[in-house]
Amino acid sequence: MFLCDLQQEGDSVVLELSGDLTVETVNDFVGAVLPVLESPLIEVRVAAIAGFDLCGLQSLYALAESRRRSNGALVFTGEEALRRFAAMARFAGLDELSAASTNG
Amino acid sequence: MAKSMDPRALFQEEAEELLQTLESSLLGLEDDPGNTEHLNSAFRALHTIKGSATMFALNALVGYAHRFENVFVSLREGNAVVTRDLVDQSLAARDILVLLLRTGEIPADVADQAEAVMVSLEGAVTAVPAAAEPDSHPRDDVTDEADRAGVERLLRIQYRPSSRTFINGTNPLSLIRELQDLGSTLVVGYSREIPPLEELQPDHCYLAWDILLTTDASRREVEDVFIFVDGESVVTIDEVHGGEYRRLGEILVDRGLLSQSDLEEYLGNRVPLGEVLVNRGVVSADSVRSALEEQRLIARIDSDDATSSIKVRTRRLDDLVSLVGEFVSLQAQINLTAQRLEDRELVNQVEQLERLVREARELSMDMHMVPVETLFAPFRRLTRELARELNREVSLTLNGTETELDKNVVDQLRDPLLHIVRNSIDHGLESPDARLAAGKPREGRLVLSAFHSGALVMITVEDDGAGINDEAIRAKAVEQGMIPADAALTREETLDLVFQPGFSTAKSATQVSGRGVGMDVVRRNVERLNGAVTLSSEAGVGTTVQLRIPLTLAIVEGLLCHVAGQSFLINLAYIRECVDGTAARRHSSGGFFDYRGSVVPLLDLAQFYRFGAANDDDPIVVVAAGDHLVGLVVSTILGNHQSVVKNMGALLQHVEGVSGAVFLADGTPALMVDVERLHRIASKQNRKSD
Repeated sequence: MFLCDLQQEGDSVVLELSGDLTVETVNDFVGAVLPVLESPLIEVRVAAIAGFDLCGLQSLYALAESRRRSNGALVFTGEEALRRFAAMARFAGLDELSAASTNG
Repeated sequence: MAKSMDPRALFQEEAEELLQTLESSLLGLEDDPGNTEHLNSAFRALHTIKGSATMFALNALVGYAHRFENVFVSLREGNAVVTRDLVDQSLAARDILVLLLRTGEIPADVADQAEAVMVSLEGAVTAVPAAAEPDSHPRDDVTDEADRAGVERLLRIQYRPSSRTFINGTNPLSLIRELQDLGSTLVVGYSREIPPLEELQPDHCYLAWDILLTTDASRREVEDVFIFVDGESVVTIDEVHGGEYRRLGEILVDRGLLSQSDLEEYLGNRVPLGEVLVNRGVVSADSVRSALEEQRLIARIDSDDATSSIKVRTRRLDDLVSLVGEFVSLQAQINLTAQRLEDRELVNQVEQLERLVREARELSMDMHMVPVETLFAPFRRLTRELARELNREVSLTLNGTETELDKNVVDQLRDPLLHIVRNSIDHGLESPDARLAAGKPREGRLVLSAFHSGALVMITVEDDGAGINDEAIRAKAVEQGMIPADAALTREETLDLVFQPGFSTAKSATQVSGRGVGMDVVRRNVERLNGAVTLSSEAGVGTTVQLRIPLTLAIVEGLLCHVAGQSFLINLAYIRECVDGTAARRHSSGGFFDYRGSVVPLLDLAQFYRFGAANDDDPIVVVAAGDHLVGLVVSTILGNHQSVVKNMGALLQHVEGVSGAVFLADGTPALMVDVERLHRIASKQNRKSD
């Protein structure tokens, strides 16, 4: 199960991710993020239980890429889960993807 | 500035390794005389030793190695065959080389013996029987270039999945993992095609890969990895030939990403080619990165690994591990400060730092790891020699030799393992006649195995010998006053008596199959490594000795707990689960509780360390010492903690149930719980209370 809880905190938006962000759930994630893409700060909090496949990882990279182009701030937090998917991206030789999705 | 390593010492170290390789190759040849890999390895070792010794004017060594090498030249040219006698004489000549390496000259008292060994070796080079010739080079027949297995080569695999790959259920990571199983891989991923989120088709695949695979698998095996990818995906597999340095442009042209004429045009710039091509949008940055990786890999292969590794003194590695350990502690302190200050930015930076420190820690630990092969390899020769000496026939099997273990642990395991293996051959395995009489094969079986189990390494020595007569052990223990005559002991506890100091005497060794000889010393040495040793045996069937050893001695990841206000760390490697004390169903005696349907002994750490007594609702940390579970009652569980373990020093080293100390983030000490020891104490206590 995938859950993307969205909270508005002033001008910032906090997205709390839990469950698995995979090809089955990636549309839900993108659907939740697109309406708030223009917010000054987006914080993506990744719960330790969150899992990702390459499709999920790819969507986080796309989010980072959007924010980079619009100079919008993006912060990923959730050390354990981020470490796991950074390791997965490194294994797949996708270093830039790993760096973008973990560092924002 | 640090001093570089003395070249002579470096040569000495390398030569010792080569002599070890020579010994393994000779023993390999004895088992498989037609194996060209062993033959070439032995020849290379001799050739390298001779060449390096020339630089240091070690003339006696050079001369002896030269004659030895000549024997292997004859063997490689097919003018001689490997015989048992030749292996015997080669091993003896190898021992003379060891002596020469240490002393520089052949000592006068062994000069005659050294010459006699070489003459015998040269004499052992017998002419090839006509029929034997084809068998000595069995691999020469393999000529099918299109689908050859067993020959290592470099393949460039370009994998461009279709956009529907994810939807079709293909997981590219699984394919990469399968390739990894076929050899060593260098994976370069392409992520530049991923658009911004507003343009993304969320379930489409925008990723692609280049994989450089060094493998001896056949092309068919590599193609089979991609057998189920959909028809729209593109997979190309090309063999990359080494031999000469290739420029970036040549690789890109070879890959069809750039035409030769365009290459020549762009080469007119002074800016690096890759940069020009990316700036002008001719090729992507990922393509350049992938081509550069290929260039580096080929350069590395072509340099024959000569510059890809350097020798580092073990002490320096120890210093590095220790330094990284201090980083780990410091990082934990900074983490604590950041949380206290509630500074979000600082917390984020500390998380980055934590990642880097963890990577540095893993890297430094990796550098300290050596394969168990270095520990096991000398036992091939030892088994051979002991078997001959004692009139035994023994087949030795080494399993899990690639298992890695801290070099310091390996060094300290050598003696205990030697003791156990000697005991197995000397007293465990029977003579061929006795085995035949017992309905067993003439040849005894001795198996040394190593495997990882969490953060522990299990090393077992297993024989199919006579086993241990526990009645005889019991009688001996009663005779020596170790146990009362009516003591009720399980079989396991009876066998454990052989580890008691003073149990072993030459007399008892005969009566109880000699298993007691020095086993107390073995246990002491293993416990010094925070490990444990156990014995299992069945009369007439065989004996197994198992060592459980922590993967590393340097940095430990543990669960930090409070026991009556004092801090203790329990190594995570031993922890099965933490149980809420209020929910645990304790038995009326208080010494046991129900754990997932099993009755598990409890040990109240507060009581054990004499701080008082635990409350009934205190949490229980369930730990496993081998197959045995124990519940350790603590006051509070605080969380995970990584730390450098310090030893307790001479004054405190005998404190029961403690194997070391660590410093916490705030600088206060915590004691490291000795789980193996506590398990034995808990078992004894509960036996008494029964």
